[in-house]
Amino acid sequence: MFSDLICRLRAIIRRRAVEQELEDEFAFHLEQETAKHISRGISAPEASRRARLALQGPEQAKENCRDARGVAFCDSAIQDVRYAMRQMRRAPAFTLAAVLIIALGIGANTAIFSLLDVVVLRTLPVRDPGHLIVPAWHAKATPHPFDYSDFESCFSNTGAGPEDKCSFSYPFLTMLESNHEIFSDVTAFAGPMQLSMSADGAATIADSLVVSGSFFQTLATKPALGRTFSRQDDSADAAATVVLSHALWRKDFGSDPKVIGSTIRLNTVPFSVIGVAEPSFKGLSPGRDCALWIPIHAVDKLGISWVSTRPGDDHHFWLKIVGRLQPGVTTARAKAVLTALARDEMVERTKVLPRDSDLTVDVASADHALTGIRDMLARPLYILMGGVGLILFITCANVAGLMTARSAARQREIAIRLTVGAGRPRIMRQLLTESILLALLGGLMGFVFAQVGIRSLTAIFWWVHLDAEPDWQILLFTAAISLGAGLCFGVVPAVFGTKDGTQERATLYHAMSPSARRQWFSRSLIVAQVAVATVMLAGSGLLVRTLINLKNVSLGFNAQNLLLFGIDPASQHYQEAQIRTLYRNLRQRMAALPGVTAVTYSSDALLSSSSSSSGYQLEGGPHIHVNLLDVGPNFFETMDIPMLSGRGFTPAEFAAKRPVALVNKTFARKYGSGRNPLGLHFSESAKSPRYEIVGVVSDAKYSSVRAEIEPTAYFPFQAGAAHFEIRSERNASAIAPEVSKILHDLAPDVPVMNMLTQTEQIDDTLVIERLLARISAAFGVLALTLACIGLYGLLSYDVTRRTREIGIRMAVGAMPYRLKLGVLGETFVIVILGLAFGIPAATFSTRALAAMLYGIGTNDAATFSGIAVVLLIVSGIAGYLPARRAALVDPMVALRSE
Amino acid sequence: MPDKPIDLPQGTLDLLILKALALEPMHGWAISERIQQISSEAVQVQQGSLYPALHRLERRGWLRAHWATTASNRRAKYYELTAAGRKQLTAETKSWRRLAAAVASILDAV
Repeated sequence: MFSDLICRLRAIIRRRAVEQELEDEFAFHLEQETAKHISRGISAPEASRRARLALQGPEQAKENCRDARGVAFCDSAIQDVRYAMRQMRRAPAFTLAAVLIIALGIGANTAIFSLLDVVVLRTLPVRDPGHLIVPAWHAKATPHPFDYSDFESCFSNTGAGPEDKCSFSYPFLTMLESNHEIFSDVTAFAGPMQLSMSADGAATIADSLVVSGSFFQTLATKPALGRTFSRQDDSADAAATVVLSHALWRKDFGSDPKVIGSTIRLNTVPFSVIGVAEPSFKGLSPGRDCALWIPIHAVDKLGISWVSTRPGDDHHFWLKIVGRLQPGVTTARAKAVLTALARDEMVERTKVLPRDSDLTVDVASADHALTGIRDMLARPLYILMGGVGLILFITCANVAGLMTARSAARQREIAIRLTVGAGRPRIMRQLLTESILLALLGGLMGFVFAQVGIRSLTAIFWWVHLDAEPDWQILLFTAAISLGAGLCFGVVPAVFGTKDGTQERATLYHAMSPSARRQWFSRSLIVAQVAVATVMLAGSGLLVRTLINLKNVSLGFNAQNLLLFGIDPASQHYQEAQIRTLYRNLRQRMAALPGVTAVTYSSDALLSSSSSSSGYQLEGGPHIHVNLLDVGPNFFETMDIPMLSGRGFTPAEFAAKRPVALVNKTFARKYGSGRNPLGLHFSESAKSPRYEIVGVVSDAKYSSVRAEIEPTAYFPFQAGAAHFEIRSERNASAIAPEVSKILHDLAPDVPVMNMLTQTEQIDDTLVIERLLARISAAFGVLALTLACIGLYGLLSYDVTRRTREIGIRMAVGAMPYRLKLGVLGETFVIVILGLAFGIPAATFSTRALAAMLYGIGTNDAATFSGIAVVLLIVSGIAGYLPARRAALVDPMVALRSE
Repeated sequence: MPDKPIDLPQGTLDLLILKALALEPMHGWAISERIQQISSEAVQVQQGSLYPALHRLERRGWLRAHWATTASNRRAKYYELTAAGRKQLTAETKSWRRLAAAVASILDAV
């Protein structure tokens, strides 16, 4: 087979030489044959004729030789590509339109797939991630005492059965470290939490992950510079050390290698930099990239309350565990061993759980367990992926329609080529080559579109780190769908285009009128596009109306012209008295700003997706569960939450810890059992303070716009991290520079978190809804536009094709308006057929959106009928233009045209 | 008048070419002349299919081609058998004989 390869290669690489040889060989043959005939006494011209005749046409024979050499395929492929490019140059408008349409479809798909890849599909950037597992426990009882914290849920809790908890205590980790039964390496982490970081200049916020000494060793990631932690770095007497992420090193340290050994301050505590992580390792959970890593014991120095490494702290559950399985250990075995170990620890040794609590440990691979933003984004992204799939379908159908119309226009050319002996497969291959070339061009352009799209999409998620840089997988995806699309929209015109030719090649004139089958096919393409556009519009209609509903929800407070920011002076080791003074001074200075009418603060900003709640015993009443918020002076006045009865907090109550509380109307209605709740008391337990209800305020949304208002209790703010609310008369963001200056004057060392307006804050909590509404609306409009362009193209083509017929009909007395009605009628038949398929499909497929909707059902009649009306109007316009052209046909011109 | 020349059955042209080249290298025209000569003009080699067959056999590695000068001082493309081609000739001759014998015995049977 070697000779075969050489032969083919030579034919391709040294094409000209091979051709020349073929030429020479035949010339020699003809010469010999002619000479033979002449020697038998035949005249020279006749001899030459006979020689040619014997070869059955030298050119045909040469072509057969080329085929025999096996070069024909490659050769003709090159020919086809050249021919296709020539065709494209000859019809630049068609080419541009087709490439643009394909680029839109492929760009949308590539963009959404890139995000899906980052959020859902990509595996951990560590060695052999399949052997990394994360344990989680659940029990029928709650441990007592119990102190639990986590930064994100894991295991995608389904809500059925007891919740899986991924946080374990520090003693449990040390126990696992000394047990080598199932894990070859085990590590634990908490966070990422935000620490204020300063190198030389101002403090910035850095997302910091607290990790055990064996973290990098367990994950088997290497440092790009310096070293990573060893077990010695994570001990009570070790110096505080930090490993920087590659991104932080590049951004904040200008990729300076001298950073190794230097000191940075985290919450004012000095840490020495020992290494920089490799660029590909950014964190364990998708969308939760870390800026730096610090050892568990170093955190003790930061004075963070929930970090606890003392041996007796058995009831603090705050560490997520990641273990690398020993070779040969199955997950089932890991589960059994871990369950036994956890029972030893939590039931037998520390006795935080009773024996009948049925404590069980589950394990999942780290990829699955550490969901990060996947929980939040996976569903919307799959929905969008479905949407872009539909868009791709429409673009393919659209381009197929264009190609069909074009192949009809090229009927004469194709018929001629068939007549002179070109094989049908050859012509089909040529038409397919054209389609695939178009698709690949579209794919290239779409890839560029996608990069722009991804940038604007990730900008919406500014608060998560999404690194959607294109990699070879994305490129492969784009290439594959381009090729697939090219085959899809190319194959049908190729089949139809050549079939008619064969039947009608005898009469070139008739070959110009397309067959009924093609017309039927073009129409069904449009019907399909209208149907799919209906589905897209229905989905986007529901999502847009959801967003509108959410924006119009009555919040219970005035969200306009309100500036927010958060500070945590305790992170810079401010004492309680200092914090009180700082907050008082900040309020005074900010209230004095021109245009500012009120200033207050609270333990959480409203509608920031964060809240706290607790269970209490209402005296003389039931067990109650309420949301809690600590509020500063003038909170209700600043937020415009009306006081319903009783009184607000007094300055004395802010100054000293007095057990008083305000409650909202829902609290009063639900737990007051018809009475006025003023004067009622509630407490956490018999020993804790009895809170007296001194006032009732009107209801206001707390943690999220979607959630129903729950019973809420407000307490006087004492000290701690605070979120300030500043009411302004003008646009709240306009006062941000002045507010920043005051902060810089009064507390230059305290980093400021999330300075934004209340409406921006709300928009951030609605980011998924906004994302879905925006993108789906864009897709809906795109689908509608493409379907209408398709419709317009089809009808215009029809009118042009039938110019002669229309001319004859006008000449024999047809009224122009009747012709107009005829075209418009056809438009509406197509659209109504499209709706007839599209609306049932939409009612079925919008069910996937059910969980995302707010204040609207999946089968909302108003939305659906609105879409039908929009489709009819827009398609009416698309159909009217060709209809008018039909009516304006001049019979004389039409009849003379042929 | 001689009988009308027989058209070659499918696949036999390759065998005849290999056989013709078994003695010495030849150019295409000579091969066609030789085959007709040997078969006493009974077999008509279609010249149109001779050359594609030569190129096909070259690609398969049974023939090797080179350019040389003829007795009349003209450049021509000479084909010769390769080792693989010789082996192929033996194998095909054998199977052809078997086929011919089998067909003959069927024809003679009744």
